[in-house]
Amino acid sequence: MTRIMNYRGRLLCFVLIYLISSSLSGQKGYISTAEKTNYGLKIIDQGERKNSEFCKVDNGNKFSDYSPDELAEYGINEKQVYRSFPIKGIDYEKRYFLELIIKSKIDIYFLRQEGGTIRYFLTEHDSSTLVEIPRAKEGYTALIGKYLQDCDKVTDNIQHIRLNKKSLARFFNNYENCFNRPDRPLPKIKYGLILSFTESILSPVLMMNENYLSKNDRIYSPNISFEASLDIPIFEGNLSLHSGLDLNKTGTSKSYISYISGETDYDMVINYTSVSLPVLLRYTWLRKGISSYLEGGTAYLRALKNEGQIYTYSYSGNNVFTSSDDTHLICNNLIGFTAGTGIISGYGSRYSWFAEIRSSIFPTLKLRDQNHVNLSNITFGIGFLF
Amino acid sequence: MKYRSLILVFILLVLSGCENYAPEERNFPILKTLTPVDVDSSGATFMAEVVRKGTMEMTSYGFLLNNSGEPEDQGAFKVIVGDKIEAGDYKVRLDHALVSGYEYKIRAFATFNGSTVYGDVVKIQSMGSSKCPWSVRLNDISLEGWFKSVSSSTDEKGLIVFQSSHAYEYDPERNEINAISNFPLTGNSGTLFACANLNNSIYFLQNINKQVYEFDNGAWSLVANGQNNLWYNTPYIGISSNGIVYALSSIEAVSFDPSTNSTSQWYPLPMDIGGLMGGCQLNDISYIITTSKEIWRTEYPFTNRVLAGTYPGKLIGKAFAFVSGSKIFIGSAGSKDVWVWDTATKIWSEIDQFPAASVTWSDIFSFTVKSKFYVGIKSNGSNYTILRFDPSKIESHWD
Repeated sequence: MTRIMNYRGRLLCFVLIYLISSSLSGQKGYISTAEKTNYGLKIIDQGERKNSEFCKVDNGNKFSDYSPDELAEYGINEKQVYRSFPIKGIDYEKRYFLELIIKSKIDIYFLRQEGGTIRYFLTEHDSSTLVEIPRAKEGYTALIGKYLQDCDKVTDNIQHIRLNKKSLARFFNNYENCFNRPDRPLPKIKYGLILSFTESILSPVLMMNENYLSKNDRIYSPNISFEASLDIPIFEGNLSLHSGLDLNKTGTSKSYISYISGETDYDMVINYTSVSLPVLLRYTWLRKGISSYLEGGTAYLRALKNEGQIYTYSYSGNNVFTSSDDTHLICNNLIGFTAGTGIISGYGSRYSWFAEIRSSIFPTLKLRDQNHVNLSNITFGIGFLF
Repeated sequence: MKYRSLILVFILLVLSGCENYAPEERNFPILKTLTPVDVDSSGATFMAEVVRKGTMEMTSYGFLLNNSGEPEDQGAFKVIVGDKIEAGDYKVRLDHALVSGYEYKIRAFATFNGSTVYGDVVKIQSMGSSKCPWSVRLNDISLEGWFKSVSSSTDEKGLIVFQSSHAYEYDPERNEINAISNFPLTGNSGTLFACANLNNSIYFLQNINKQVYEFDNGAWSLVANGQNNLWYNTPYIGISSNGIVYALSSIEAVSFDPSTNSTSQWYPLPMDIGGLMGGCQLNDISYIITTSKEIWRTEYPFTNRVLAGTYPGKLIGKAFAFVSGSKIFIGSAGSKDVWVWDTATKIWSEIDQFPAASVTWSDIFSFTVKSKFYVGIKSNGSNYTILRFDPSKIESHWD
């Protein structure tokens, strides 16, 4: 019985805590006039446009509406704050509640008016002088950049801002990090050149019988490849889209000797030059010194030179009959999967070097009943970014 | 600008990073027969690639070609390009031996230490060659005649009669062969014929009832009842001399005189020279080719024979013999050898091969029209191929 009571007691406490916290969650709003501030109010979020025109407070049994002329500021919650400002139009001047979307060295406000018109404004922090942000990119980047001269790495990236809430939030988050996390460089578009040592792994699937030495071998073919790459940050966060063009030249010569007298011997020869286009998603842990990354995605490979021969040597008495079958042992077009990891030194610098290891697999999806070779690559490369 | 230079350096580094792969070195050369180029009526250029030279010393290399079998078969035409082989390409322009109208199989080859290595087989459709006297006129035409055949010609056309009595006329101008009225007697495999042109009519002597028939203006007519009784079971050749038609074998002579419509015979001849394979007539002199490859010379009244020479090549099956000036061209159904014999100088010269030789189908017919020789040979079942031999194309062989 005691155990049951304890159980019921714990359940009751849990329900009470839940109900109390739920009721309080609607009462984190506040309204401010020039004289005082009332906290603990339940303020209704009416959407961007109506929020800018009046503040609706839920008093439990009735609603109270406040105009921008009555309040200096209100907050629906800690993050959603509106301030009253006089806004000039072509032929009017009227007060609106502007949504404070950035609170930093400069404050940035958002306004959605009737008809869906969107406007952005800024004030120097805690100043009441409102400046409208131009819609044109040249205009808003110049205006915002003027106030943020104290962080070079931010101003380097200012060209990537778009005039919307998310982009502005990310940009100013980076600006704050300039001081709060000075060790984190800002992501930006990077070009790269990389020279790699590549180990191509050729896996022949040959339509001959089992009486041949080395038939099931994987063939390792070392070579050098070169890639010109492009890395584009996604949302200026740690994710980026990584692509490039990878030039690679590989091949092999392999003998298949029958261990049964009187059989036929073979030589397989491949000379394969290709260019591949990886499309990878890269996650980079950005640091001031050494940054590291993981990446994965797909790659399209196109052969520039595709020579494959199977030489056949048939022995008959004192005669040797040779024949060669010119064939594409590797497909001209391949789609595969790529994954890799690497490190970047001095990501935030104008020039930086990096090293990576990457693995690619290009499975052959056809030629089931023909001689063919599956291709995969492991590359270790060193390059530089700019 | 400096990036472009760097990119260029990297690309060059990659492309020159490793050599082209090739098959492993073996003790024999690895040959690839390449597709011939410049194939036209003057000949063709044969090409081969020596992919790896091999460790053994070569003694000769070149090409083999054959229109009726495999290039490595005995009797295939061989073109030797050199003796010491090197890696790379080699080629040769062939302006003879290629017969217009035939498909050839070609292999590159090299010999070493008593062995031969062959490249792949490639095929070409020949358009002829400037110094090849042979050309295919009709290929694989169906003739109903069966058993063996005899043949002769008028000034314009060739005439072919089978032992089955089926008869055909070949028109070189139109390059057509057409069936004509059957020979009046139904023959069999034991029927022996001999025929010859006399004054542009063709006379047929045969051993069934010893009658003589004349073929003139597309019609057969009986011109003499048989008086000759012997007719041994041995091949005969037909000739005409001094206004008389003769059937000659190795042991007898039978004649027909159109002026009296009478027949005569000489038997036994003074000497047996062995089995007869063929023969020809040069002016009033006849040459008989025996199975022992001897060439016997004889002339009216054929009671005397002189051993004139011995054929230096192979003779297999029925022989054909053509006359041009003082020269006799001799070949046979089952051998590719063709030799020309100058009756004045007694010199033998080998010339371009008989391209349709077949040891399987030994029947053959031949005739001459307007200084061109025609040979028909069974090529497959009841099908025949007719080739033309133009001696003017090989005059440089002895001039």
